[in-house]
Amino acid sequence: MLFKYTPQMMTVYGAMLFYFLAFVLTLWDRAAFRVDSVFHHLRPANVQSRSRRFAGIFYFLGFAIAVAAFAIRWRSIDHLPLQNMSDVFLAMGMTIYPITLLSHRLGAGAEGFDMLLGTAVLFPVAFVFPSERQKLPPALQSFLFGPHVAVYLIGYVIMAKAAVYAVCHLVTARGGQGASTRNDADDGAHEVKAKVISASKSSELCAVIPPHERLGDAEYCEKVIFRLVALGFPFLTFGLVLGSWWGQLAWGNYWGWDPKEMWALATWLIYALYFHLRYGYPDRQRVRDVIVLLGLAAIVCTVLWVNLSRLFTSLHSYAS
Amino acid sequence: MLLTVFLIAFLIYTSVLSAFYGSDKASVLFSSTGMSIFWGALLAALVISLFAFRNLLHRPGPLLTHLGCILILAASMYAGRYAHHLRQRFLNDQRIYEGYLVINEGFHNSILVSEDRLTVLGELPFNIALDKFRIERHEGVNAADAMPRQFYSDVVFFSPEGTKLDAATISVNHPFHFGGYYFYQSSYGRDFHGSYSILHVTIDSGIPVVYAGYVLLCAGVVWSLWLRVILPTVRRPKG
Repeated sequence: MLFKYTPQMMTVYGAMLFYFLAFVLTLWDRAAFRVDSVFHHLRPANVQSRSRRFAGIFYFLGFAIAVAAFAIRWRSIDHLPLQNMSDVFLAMGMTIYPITLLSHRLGAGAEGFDMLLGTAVLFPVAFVFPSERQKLPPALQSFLFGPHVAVYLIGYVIMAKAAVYAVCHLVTARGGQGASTRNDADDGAHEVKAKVISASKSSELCAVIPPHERLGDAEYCEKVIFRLVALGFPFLTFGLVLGSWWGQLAWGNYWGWDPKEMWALATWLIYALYFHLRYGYPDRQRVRDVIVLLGLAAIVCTVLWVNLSRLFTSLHSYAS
Repeated sequence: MLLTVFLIAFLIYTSVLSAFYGSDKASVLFSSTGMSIFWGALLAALVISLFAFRNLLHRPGPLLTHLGCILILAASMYAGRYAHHLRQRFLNDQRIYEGYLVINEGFHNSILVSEDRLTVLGELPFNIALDKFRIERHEGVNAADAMPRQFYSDVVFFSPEGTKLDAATISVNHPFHFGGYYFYQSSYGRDFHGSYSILHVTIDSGIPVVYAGYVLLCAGVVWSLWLRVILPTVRRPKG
């Protein structure tokens, strides 16, 4: 690990630090004020604890510093800094905060995970990816450059959040699957029992990743996953369409069967499959969880594998 | 419904598979006979689904999304190489599907060649003259080594009789549409005649329909997901 003492890198370290502090505070808050914790009585109902409030402040500070890092980068390279991996990951670290706010409005919690993700995406910016300035080649000088990359990175962050809920749902809602979808009066007792079991499991999990109190609630999880995928899917669609339009303008071909295009198409199709499965087989929640996870795997392949590995030759190799 | 799931799953599988193959093999794979049958089945399934699932016709969001997919699929079939052969044979379409045009500065040309410039593919029904080829470079230490910022070809279109039809400046990301073709700035070089510019020329069939499909698709997903799912949830005080 090599520290670089440039203004941009200093801001990246700062943003990482604040994100991580926010995460640690959230973790501590969740662990200390868990339902079965000895400190539980210290927190009155409906009042935020001080640690939680500070976590929010630190998270915002991290965001502000990440914006500053992005602005400094923009000034130093004279074009929208979304060209290489370092720039894109920095932009992801910046967009995570607004996405947290938006998904909070959608009923999703998992702020703790977002803070950790913010730290995690800034880590390679700080220590792994080279950050030398690159001139923009002619093919990338298009008004579609910014929108195409931006909608994808926003969509990817949202889908990553959906995948967290899918994992939590797979881990905690085991066995409670039938109960969550049937709402018959006869099943009431069974349902409550299943919820109690999964809630206790979720509180164990909360000590590790602290997303939300209602994590064990299968119905709640499914709702949040659907909303997050519904939020992210149009971004992926825009990315695909803008990319195709740009391909037509730059290469004279709206579809080039390029590996990166194929991974992006596979990603889009996986989430399209999610919607079809949800429509056709509403009871199969766990299958959909796996689909959401596969979607994230395809996203990781689209972003990292094609660029970093030398296995494929790709038209999108600008970003390597 | 099972069929839909199967069709999408198969397309995911082939997409991932072709990502391993690279773009050249992938384009061969996706235009092979087997895949042509699959594309036909997918298109048919999309059209049938409009009638099989009543919800689709009655809800504008999903309807637009599926119509967009139908348009994109149909247009790309129409724009494809095979459909072009059929049009050449039955509709007497004389146009060339795709090719490269090499023009020296101060000369004119109408012969399309292959990308490796070894095969002559055909002749355009008009002449293209290259008035001037310009390279704009980034500021660098050594002006000749600095990375190009943009290439420009100032071209003039002439009829075979020599009357001027149109003039344009073509640069990377800024193609020009003329006579049923798109002209793209592809590459450049120097030979004993001076500097030359290489333009990539492609036929324009089906492209507007593909774009229309994209517009429908985007409108459809925004309508059915953001307007129907996200907006009501965000507006409600407690989700």
